[in-house]
Amino acid sequence: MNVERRKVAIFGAAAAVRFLLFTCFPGLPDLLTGRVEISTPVTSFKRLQEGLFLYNHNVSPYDGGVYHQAPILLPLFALLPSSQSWPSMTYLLYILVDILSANALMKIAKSGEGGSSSLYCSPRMGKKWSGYAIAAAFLFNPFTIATCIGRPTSVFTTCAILHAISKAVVGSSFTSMFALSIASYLSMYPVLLFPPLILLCYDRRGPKQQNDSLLSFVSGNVMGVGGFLYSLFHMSYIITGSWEFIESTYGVQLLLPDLTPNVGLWWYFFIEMFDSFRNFFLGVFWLHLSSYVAGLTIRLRRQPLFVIITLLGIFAIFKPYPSISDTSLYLAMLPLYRHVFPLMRYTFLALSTILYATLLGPAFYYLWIYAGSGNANFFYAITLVWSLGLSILVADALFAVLRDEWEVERPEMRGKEIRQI
Amino acid sequence: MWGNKALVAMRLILSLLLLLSAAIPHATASSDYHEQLNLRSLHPSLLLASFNFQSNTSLTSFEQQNFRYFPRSLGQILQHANTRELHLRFSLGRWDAESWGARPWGGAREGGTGVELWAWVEAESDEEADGRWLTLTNALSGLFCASLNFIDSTRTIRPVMSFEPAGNHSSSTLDNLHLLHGTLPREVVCTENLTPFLKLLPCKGKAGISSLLDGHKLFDASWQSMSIDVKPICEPGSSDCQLQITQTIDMVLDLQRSKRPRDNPIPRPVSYEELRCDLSKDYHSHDTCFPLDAAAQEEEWILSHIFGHPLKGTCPLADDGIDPVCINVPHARHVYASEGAHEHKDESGYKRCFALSPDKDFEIILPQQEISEKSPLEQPLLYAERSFIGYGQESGGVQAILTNPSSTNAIEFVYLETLPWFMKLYLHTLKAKINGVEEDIIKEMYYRPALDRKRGTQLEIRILIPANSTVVLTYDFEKAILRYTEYPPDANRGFDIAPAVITIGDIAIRTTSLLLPLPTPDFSMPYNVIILTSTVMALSFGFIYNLLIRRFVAIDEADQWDVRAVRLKVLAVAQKFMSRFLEKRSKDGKDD
Amino acid sequence: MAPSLPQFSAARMRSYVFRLPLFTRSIIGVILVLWVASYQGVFDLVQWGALIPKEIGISTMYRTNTFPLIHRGVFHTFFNLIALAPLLERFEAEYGTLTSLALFVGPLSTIPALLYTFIERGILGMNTAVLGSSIWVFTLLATEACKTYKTNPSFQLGTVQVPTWITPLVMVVFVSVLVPNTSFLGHLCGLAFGYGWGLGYLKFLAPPEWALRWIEGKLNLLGRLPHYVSVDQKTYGRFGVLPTTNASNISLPTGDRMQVEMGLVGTSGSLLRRDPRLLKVPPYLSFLCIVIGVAWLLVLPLDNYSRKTYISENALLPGQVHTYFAGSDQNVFRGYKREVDGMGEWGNVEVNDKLEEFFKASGLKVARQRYEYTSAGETYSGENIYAILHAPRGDAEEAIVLVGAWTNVEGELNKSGVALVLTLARYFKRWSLWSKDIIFLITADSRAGPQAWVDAYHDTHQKGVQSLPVKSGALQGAVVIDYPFDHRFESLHVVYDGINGQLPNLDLLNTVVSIASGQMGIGASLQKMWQHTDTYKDRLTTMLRGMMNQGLGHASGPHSSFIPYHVDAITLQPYGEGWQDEMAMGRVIESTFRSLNNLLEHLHQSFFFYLLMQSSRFVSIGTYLPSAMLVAVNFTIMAIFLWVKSGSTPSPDSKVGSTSEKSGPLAIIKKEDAVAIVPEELLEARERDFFLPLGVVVGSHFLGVLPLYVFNHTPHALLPIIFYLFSALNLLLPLLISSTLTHSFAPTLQQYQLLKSFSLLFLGMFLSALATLNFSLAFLIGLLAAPLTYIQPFKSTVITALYVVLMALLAPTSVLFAGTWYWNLGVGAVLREAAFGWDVWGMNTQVVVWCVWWPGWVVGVIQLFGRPRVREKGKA
Repeated sequence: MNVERRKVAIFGAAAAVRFLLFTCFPGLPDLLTGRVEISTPVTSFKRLQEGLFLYNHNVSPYDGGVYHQAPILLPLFALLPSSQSWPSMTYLLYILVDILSANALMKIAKSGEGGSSSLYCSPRMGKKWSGYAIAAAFLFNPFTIATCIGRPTSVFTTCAILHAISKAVVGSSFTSMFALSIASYLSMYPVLLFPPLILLCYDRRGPKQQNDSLLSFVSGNVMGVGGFLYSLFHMSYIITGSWEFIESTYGVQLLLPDLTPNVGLWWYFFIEMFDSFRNFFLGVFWLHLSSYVAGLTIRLRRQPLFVIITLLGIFAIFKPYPSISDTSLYLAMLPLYRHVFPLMRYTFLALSTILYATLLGPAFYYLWIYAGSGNANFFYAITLVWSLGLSILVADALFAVLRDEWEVERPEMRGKEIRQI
Repeated sequence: MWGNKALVAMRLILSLLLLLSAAIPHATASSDYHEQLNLRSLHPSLLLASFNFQSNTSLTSFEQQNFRYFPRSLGQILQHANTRELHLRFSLGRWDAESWGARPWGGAREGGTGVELWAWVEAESDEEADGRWLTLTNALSGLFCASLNFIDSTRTIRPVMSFEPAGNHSSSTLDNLHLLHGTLPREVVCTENLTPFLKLLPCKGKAGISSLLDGHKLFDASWQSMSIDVKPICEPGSSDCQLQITQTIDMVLDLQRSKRPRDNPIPRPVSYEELRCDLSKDYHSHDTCFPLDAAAQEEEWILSHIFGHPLKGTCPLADDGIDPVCINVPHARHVYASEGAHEHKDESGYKRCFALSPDKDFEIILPQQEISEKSPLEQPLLYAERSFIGYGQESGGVQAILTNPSSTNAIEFVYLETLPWFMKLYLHTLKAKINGVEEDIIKEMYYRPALDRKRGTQLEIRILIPANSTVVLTYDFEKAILRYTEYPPDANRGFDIAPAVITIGDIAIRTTSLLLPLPTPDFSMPYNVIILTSTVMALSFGFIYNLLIRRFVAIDEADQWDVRAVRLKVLAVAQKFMSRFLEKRSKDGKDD
Repeated sequence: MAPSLPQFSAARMRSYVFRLPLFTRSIIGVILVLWVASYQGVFDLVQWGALIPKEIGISTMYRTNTFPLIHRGVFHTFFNLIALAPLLERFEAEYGTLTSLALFVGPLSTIPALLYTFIERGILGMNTAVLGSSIWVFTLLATEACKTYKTNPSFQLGTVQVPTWITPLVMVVFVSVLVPNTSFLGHLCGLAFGYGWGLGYLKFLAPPEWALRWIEGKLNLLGRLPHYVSVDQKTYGRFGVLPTTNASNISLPTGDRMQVEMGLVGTSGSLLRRDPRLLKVPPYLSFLCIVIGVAWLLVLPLDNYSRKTYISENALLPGQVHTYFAGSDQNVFRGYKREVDGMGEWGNVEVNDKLEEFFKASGLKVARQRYEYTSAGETYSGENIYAILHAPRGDAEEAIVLVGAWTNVEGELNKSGVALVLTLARYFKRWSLWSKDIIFLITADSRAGPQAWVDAYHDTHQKGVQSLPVKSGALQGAVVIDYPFDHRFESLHVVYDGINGQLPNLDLLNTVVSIASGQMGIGASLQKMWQHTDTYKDRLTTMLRGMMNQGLGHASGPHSSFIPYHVDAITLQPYGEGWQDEMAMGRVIESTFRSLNNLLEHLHQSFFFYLLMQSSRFVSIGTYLPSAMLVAVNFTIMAIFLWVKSGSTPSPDSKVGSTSEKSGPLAIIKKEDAVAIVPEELLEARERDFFLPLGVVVGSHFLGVLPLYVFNHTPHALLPIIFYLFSALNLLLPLLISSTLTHSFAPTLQQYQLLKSFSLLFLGMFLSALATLNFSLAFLIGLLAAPLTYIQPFKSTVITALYVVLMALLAPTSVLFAGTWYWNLGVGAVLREAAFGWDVWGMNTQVVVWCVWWPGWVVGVIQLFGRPRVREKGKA
């Protein structure tokens, strides 16, 4: 009971904070919606409004260069009262989504998958944070709050991913796969999470599936995901009446026609790229992004959850249109591996780099776009720093986990300096 | 038997009809080519000169390549591009409706700043139409030395509500006529466009009113517009149609400026004597002067001073029906014309026209004159203003202020915006305020969103403005950032946005064009960016894959470097070497 | 284990050199010093110090000690050093610093020396001077050889077993053969002693261990000296590795030593904590940062660091056109002037009615705009009037603004200025060459009016401000005339700083300056430097005044309001008594407008970040930014340092390689066949409890909103009282917080360190971000906050007291008060100005002061009063 009360307290507080921000600073939501760090062309709330407007007026939103988001969002938001006249409805929806995500996160923490997966049990597993702490860390992370206020549609993806994992850790692979396909349908890249997620499901599979082999298990779920995706696509086809949404939604992520600045590395690269090489480098970038999946999944076979976390971190850096909402997701998942923090080496460095970038980014963006006294390189340099800081963090966490595994093999090596050969 | 009679009667009627139909064309084809110059003095000390050249050719002879007064070069282009109706505009400057009143021809003969072209092309399908449109623009750009060929798919729209075909087309052709419209707001109109324009005239600018046209004066005007319209006109019910080409040039000349001698155009301060001061001021003295404005009296001017040279006779090809020169001033104003010209005063009291003698130079002189009576300014139907709101290079808004001055009648019009694709319009932010209060006055809307690098935005709104009220249209947009090869050389100047076209019935009003600054990348960076970004990616790839593929060992298990170790290793190598060497020796020893 | 081939790495080499123990270092140092000294010509060092057998007497015994330290020439020195260093290091590592000291100053050099002298002089009767440390080299080699001989007596050279103790001998022979004029005998003596020592016959020469221990303990050498090698190590070799007599792993001790040694320089954070050097450096480093930062700023005015200004935008072509504003236009000017004088006392609206007539008479479009602001309980209202000259053949795409405020910043009637605007409007109308519209703006005042107009032009105006009825295109530039007197003037004063320290493009300034001085022969000056003799002092003053204006971030003229909208603008103020008349001023404007009219692109070529030290001299951002960044970085350095420190093992005096009694229990770890003992804390990384510190820091930053709100929303009458109340409260607040902290949470030392770390981290971050937006403000605040870097809960009350005084002086409130006193303005006036800036100009200096600087200060004082809880193991 008391436990429940704590949960309620945390969620209530989080909701209250958000709602206060929404109501006390009426200008804030639109301000944050305009920030490139929060809204990207594929998640922006303003573009969603535009798409919705066109959809309500029977103009195909996909026959234009503005709306690049999944069709299912259109009827969803069409059901809500319009955000101009009844903004509070939208606010409530977004707050709700955040709380659902936090809830899923809490479930994951409860399952203790972080400390001891079914194949591996960390010697340090004793040292961990309660689900409440982790949920609170997610809910009160400034990035998460800013994202919630900015209302990009990426929060739905976040929520779906977290639910996919939370279902996976309790072994209900069907639901997990469903959530995953929703996430992938909303914004494509989560489909790369399939391999580790399916392994997670397999490790935690229920008693009645105990005897079926990995291969059959995987194939079954592949079918499942395919089925879900197909039905979603077909539904979208029915909603929009044509298949052109495929090109306008996923094509944009693949081909990057919209070069609006964001915290990622793609936009400036492809602004400055020579036309003849553009497609080649698009291929290279996507290849690079997906190249991590296999390596991590194989090397960290025993801790699939951490593979997912690391992948999320990598996506937050190398996606075509990343935003701080992706970062907030990664930072939310990381505390699940609280027990390896002592093994991390550059935490402070990485975090302070990220903080610096967080402050300098808006400053330089202002200098470039508004004051006109700085040029694009200012903001670009900061995105570089940001990405570097994040990748140091990701790599460091990975190091810690690997070392944790290694020390199981060689207990006498605790606290010793080690090298890699 | 009875049937027979009826048959005869029928035949009679038919023949009559035939006769009639044969007679009508001759009636209409009376005038083949005529030209007219209209002069109207605008306050303050400005002169509006509008030239009008018009000629008809029967469509049948046109189709037989038998162009009479119709310019052959243009004619062939039209035929080749299956263009049934053509409107081409070159304009420069801004018409100041507040002080100059209504536009010449009610705005029907002018375009937005730069070049504007719209045409009805006959084609089976849209693709075919596009192809022919491409042909047309390229051919015209060659003909008029204008970069019309830059009107590509991103600058072309197909207006739905705005433009109506001016000519009359048979319903059969009307079905597969395609209206295409394109603008080049950045195009600077200049002499090289005028010369081909004059070449199209029957008198080629050698005689007649066209002899007044000359680049220096035309392009020194405060506002000027050249137009070409080609349209078929058919008598209702008759099969024989005519193809009419109308060329007009309108310009607003600053009298003082154009009176300056060409060898000394600099507006030096006037000498102390000519300085017109307000003597009533108490402080007036030899070195202190409160200037008087020249509003009270009419400037004196002479035709040949304004245009640089006198009018050389009439164009022999023009028929005499219409007086070639008219001037809109009150009858009270003294106007002296050179002899041989016959003046016809118009009964309206404000217009008089002159019939010239064919081969003598013609000259008009208006002396300076204190006169209270002024020819009335025709009030425009609508005042339109458009400007950007907001600042910064991320996003912004457009605000169009449309005022209906008339105190009695409401006006319905269509507001057409054509925006480039990199100006991402948010339609849901479109608001219409009437006299400050938000109302739903938008009757009808057609919206075609832009596609990146494929086509521009097209927005047409039908609005009804009640009598003397003001409508304010606002909408937000976002500025896209382009690939660095897509910027013009003067990237930091910004991009010109074509004027909005406001169609009221058959007349059109255009707002001014806008300058849209876009965020610019650093154009010197490509290599650095490629290198830096790749480095960051390589780094993190390195971090992670190093961790993944290399194995951990304790420091001491790895090779170390230190004095002792080195010595031992050196020794070991030496030993190995020596031993092998000596073994060999001993072996050899054994052998022998 | 079979030794595999080593791979050399510079890092390890460096680390090795860094790890040289104390005595070795000092010997090397001495040798180097003497070598350098031997180059001076005053007296012959070699002659003085060398071991010359004939010279040896009682009085010259010193030679027996000095000769190894003196060398002849560069090669001699360095070869000996390279040979000596590793050997000496090993020796010292094994026997401890004290022993080595005793031996090498004493017997180890004297005995061989005497031996040599005896043989050379007595037996051979020769007199060869020897010098150089090679003798030690061979002594040590010999001892090494003996050791090696113990462990593995011989090595296989083909079939023959060569005893290992031979090697030194062989080397002596080799050396004497290969290297010219080496003393074979000397080396032999060295060897002899070495063998003697190595075989243990001479051990008695070593000082008794108890004595050494006693000295060590008494003097706490271990604590005092860096790199000191304790005596204890003899008990179990080095670093607690039990020497094993297993021939197979000779290299094991080495290995283990390497492990820890590598740890010291290893890149990993967990070990960085353990490196004493790294724990010592940062405070000095950050201090250095501050010093360099300030010094950097001071050298900027020198010719080598500042540059002469130049025009980057070629389209401007300043002063290339002939100007015609003269002659009868002067009469017109006088006419308008008289009219304006007549309107001196009229109300705003009547004046505008009249001006409207004038503009209309010149054939321009005229419009008006009313505005009303309320700030600090006062209302500022007025009406702007402006006229637009349409560019003939232009299409309202671009525009330039000519501003003449009715009253200037000091509130004087800008008579000649307004008259000039009217005359120029009439004059410009005559020209047909304008490619951009020209807007003639006459604002009601110089503070609120321009802001209202430019806000409305971009439709960002607050309510109370009318929107503009008529507009033109994008503003490309604005020039303000501030000419409040009748008489002729001497030269021009150019005001350029905008709101929040944003500056116009340098090209605009250069254009005006080059037109004024180059074309018209009118001098231009900046920052109220009425006479500027191009000296260092004047340049510095100009720069500092500029920085002060920039730092305050207030509007210094009507132009300031334009700059935030990326409209480059400046104010021109004629000053002094001279022979330049209004027409000259008009011609400057004319020529400037002709230049701006040439612009194809918005001004973007030249600098936006610069410090001017003269009208024709500037420093660009690349040159000056480091100074502010250094000041900001010093905070960050300390923050990182404190973070590391807070995580490090609490015993601050655990030295390299010394496992002194103090450091905690030892854990014995068995590895294949070797046993290593490592202090236990190394195993568990220290956990930080950073929630409390973080809470305090973030809380105090949020607390900053309170003064911000209060000072911007109180009516101006109350402002001074509020201020004094606040500053009184301000001195108590940290004390209260601190005491509550100590009572309710009893924070540990670590928590205080973290508190400081976070606070400094934030400070550093904010300041470095700010340095890019408003360099001067960042620099000034950084400087004022610098003492925070060194604040901590001091033990001695004296220091605390001193620091309290210092902090009280450097409190934001005190600084503000001092400022007002220095410029003798009332506190109320300053605060009202600030509130006005906040409400009207969108000035955000206060935000920086209250939400960045003040919280840092508060946290600093909190630490000062803090009493860290003494942990059982926390402090040593």
